Amino acid sequence: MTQIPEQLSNKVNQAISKALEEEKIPFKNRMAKIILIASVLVLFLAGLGCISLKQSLPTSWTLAFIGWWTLLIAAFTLYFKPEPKLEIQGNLSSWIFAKIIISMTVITIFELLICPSFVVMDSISSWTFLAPITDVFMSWGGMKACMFLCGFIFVGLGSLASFLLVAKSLSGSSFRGFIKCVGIAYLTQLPILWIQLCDEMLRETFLFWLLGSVLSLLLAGLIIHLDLRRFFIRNNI
Amino acid sequence: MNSDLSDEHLMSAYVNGDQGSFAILFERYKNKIYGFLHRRLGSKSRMLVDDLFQLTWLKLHQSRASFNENKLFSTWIFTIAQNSMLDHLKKSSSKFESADDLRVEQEMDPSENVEEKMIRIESSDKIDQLLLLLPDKLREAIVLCDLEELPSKEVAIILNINDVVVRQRLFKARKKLRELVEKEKGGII
Repeated sequence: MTQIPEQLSNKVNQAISKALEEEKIPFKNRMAKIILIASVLVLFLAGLGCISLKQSLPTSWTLAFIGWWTLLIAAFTLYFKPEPKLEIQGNLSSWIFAKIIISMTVITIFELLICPSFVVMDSISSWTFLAPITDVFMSWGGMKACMFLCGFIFVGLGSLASFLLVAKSLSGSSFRGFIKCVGIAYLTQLPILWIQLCDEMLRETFLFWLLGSVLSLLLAGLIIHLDLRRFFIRNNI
Repeated sequence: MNSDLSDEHLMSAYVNGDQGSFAILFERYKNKIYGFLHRRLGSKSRMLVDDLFQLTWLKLHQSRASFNENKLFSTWIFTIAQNSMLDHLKKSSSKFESADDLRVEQEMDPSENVEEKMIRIESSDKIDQLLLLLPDKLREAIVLCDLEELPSKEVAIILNINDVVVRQRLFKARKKLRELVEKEKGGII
């Protein structure tokens, strides 16, 4: 009889046993843990925001962080839902969506804190080491090109990193699953749109940022969904 | 937990959250399910077999509340494995190597010389390789009846066909397999 590899056997056994164990934890305790983790994470990132801006957060930023906090609570609720955490090609379960939201939120906030455009809007930050890139973008096509490229590059890189974390499940999934992943990932960008809409200068060009970010998110998702890495290897490209 | 308990008793306890019962059931069926998928898909698609094995247990866990105690556990789990495999192959026929692709690859390997062929045939998974040369319908019948030792009535439920049809397919599969074995032996000599 064909013997199952030991590692695979242990993985499945442990995943289901853990799910059974988690089922026994009362809902209240689980929610308390979720709110605590989400709050600590958001407070830490908001603290970095205060340092970056060298002042307390403006109202628009505070509301954006509340938005991310709500998203993180939803994501951790999905993540800690008692279910076997098995990564299977093409199989998108709730904890996979949670991984996308959590990683994308954290990456997005970090990117926002080092983005010269956003930080300069409120005060001069010591973290504007990316300012020369902004100058290059501005010289190409002014503020509109800068916003488009910022959205495209930052959101593209962030989403690519997030999707790589769930690459096994996302590759080979259905088209509907792919759209779900992209849609869920974009939810984490809504607070940034809110910050832009609240700022008089950014409001005029936010549509270019929106276009760049949507395009790059779709592109990053497609790269992983269609497993282009494997395609290039297979065809010696 | 008493390991002498029937699968159905253990499943009832598992439905109620008993980890020990799950552990015993998993121990009893892990090699059977893995072997079943392995024989159906071949050793070349190891990753696919691993994924489908995980998917089978995941589906079993997710739908465990719907298990009917009056039915056999073995029928239920093999049905889940069979359906997972068919769904997966249907969904991803253009992306992954299907069992048919594997069969063609094995039949048309021009790089294989006589010496290699002898080694391959004498290897322990000789039967597994010959099974891949059978048509899908015949292969699933012989794998479930002869290798997994399930009664034809159970296999009929798993494959959603008549008991008589199972026995007909089993007869044809055995005959075809015997022919293939003879042919392989003839090829060597």
